Amino acid sequence: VTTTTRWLMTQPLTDDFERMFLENYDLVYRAAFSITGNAPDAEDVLQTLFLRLLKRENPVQVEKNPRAYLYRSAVNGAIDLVRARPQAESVVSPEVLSANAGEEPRDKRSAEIWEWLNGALAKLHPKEAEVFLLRHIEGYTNMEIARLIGVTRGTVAVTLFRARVRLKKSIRRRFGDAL
Amino acid sequence: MKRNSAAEILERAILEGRKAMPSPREVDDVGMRVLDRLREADVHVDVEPRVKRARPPGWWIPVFASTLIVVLFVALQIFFFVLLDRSEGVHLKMPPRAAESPRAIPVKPAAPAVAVRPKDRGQTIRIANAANGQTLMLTDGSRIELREGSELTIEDRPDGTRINLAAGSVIVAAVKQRGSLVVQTNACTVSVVGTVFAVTASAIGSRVAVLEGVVNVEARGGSSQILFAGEQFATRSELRRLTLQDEIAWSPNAATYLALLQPVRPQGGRGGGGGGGGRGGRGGPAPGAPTQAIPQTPQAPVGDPDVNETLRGTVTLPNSNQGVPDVQ
Repeated sequence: VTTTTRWLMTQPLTDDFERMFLENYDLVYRAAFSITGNAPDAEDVLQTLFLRLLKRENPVQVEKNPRAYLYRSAVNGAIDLVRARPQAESVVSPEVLSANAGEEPRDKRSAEIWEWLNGALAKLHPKEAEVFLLRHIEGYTNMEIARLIGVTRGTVAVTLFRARVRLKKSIRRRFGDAL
Repeated sequence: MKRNSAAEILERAILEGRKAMPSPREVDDVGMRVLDRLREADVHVDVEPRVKRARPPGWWIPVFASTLIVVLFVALQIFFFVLLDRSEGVHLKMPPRAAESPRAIPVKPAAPAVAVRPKDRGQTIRIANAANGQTLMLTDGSRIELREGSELTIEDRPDGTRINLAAGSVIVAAVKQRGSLVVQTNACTVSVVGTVFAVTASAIGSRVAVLEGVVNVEARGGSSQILFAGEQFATRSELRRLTLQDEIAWSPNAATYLALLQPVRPQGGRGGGGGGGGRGGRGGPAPGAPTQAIPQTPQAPVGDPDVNETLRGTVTLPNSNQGVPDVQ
């Protein structure tokens, strides 16, 4: 017989929870950062995610594959956060995307491209964004991604292909005349 | 300006994205900061204790015993049900409760109703001597109480149920019918919607007595007659005339049936002695329509064989080769 008890958590974190946090916080934070594009929002995603775990809102999935669950939750949380923002038109200009935009300060160009990529990733399907980030930002191989998120390598390849196609379409739609 | 393909721009964006990612030190700083906040967090936690109660040794014995008892009980129930069903050759079925059937007539416990199974349909049913009151139950809840020595068959037809009464007497307590419930003798056909009535079939003719409701009687010659509660019908004047009380005296539930007539008695008949016409003839009034029927109490005298004379509550229709009598 199990009963649910509600109490104010005052005791220290359990060793299991702390170990899970220490093993995965970097992955979660970087995933959130690559979509939100800024540190405060990524930190907010990280904290919210582990607070939910502390409340045991999703214990079952965590126990099955904690790393995959945490990464996916981070991507979803970051996408939700970005989509909840007021929509602003991308300020990135075609010239900034051009390889010959030498007159632009490099830091400024990078920031603008980065901002565009964040917005484009947030518009992808969460699974596509997840695979794309793991492959191209985190540098995992398709096999490693497949093991991490619990799918086949073929599924990873297809998802990755779709993500790239969508992002290219997004580029053409946004900068069609300049390409 | 050099033109760039979408793929090239995407590759560049990816490169910029990698460069923009926070350094490991920044990530560690954030991680430790969040961890500290989690350690200090006052969190309302819903906890399902994972503590498993240690089961005492032999815990399975009472569980096993309880399961075994339940299984044995169910098996015995099934066994006795099947055994009883086979030994008596009938499928016992509880009669419907009175609340479910507004016309349900309580029967004596000594004469349990026997459900007529589909395979019994069309087969001749004979009631042994000294078996007065044996009751058959149709699937719709209608009950047929039989007199000893009666012989009948029950048929399913597209338009309803037909009871062919070859000999003997029956009292039918019919529930409201979707189709029709018809009792046919060699001399007449009685169709009902929902009522209680008695039919007696003999070699020379048939008698019908209505205890409750309305029935339509059609003689073999085609003459139809509407009978209301308290009224009787005979196909031939030669038939021995009985009071309603005597008509159903064989039934163990006679008193119950007669009690149905009690509300009729004080009325003294519906329009008795009123205008004639239509009664007793072909194409008579539809069931429920105003009629010239002559009610009869169970004690009413019946008996003048002359059908042209007033027979209080008794109407006699001729056979096919006879004319339609004027009961008034």
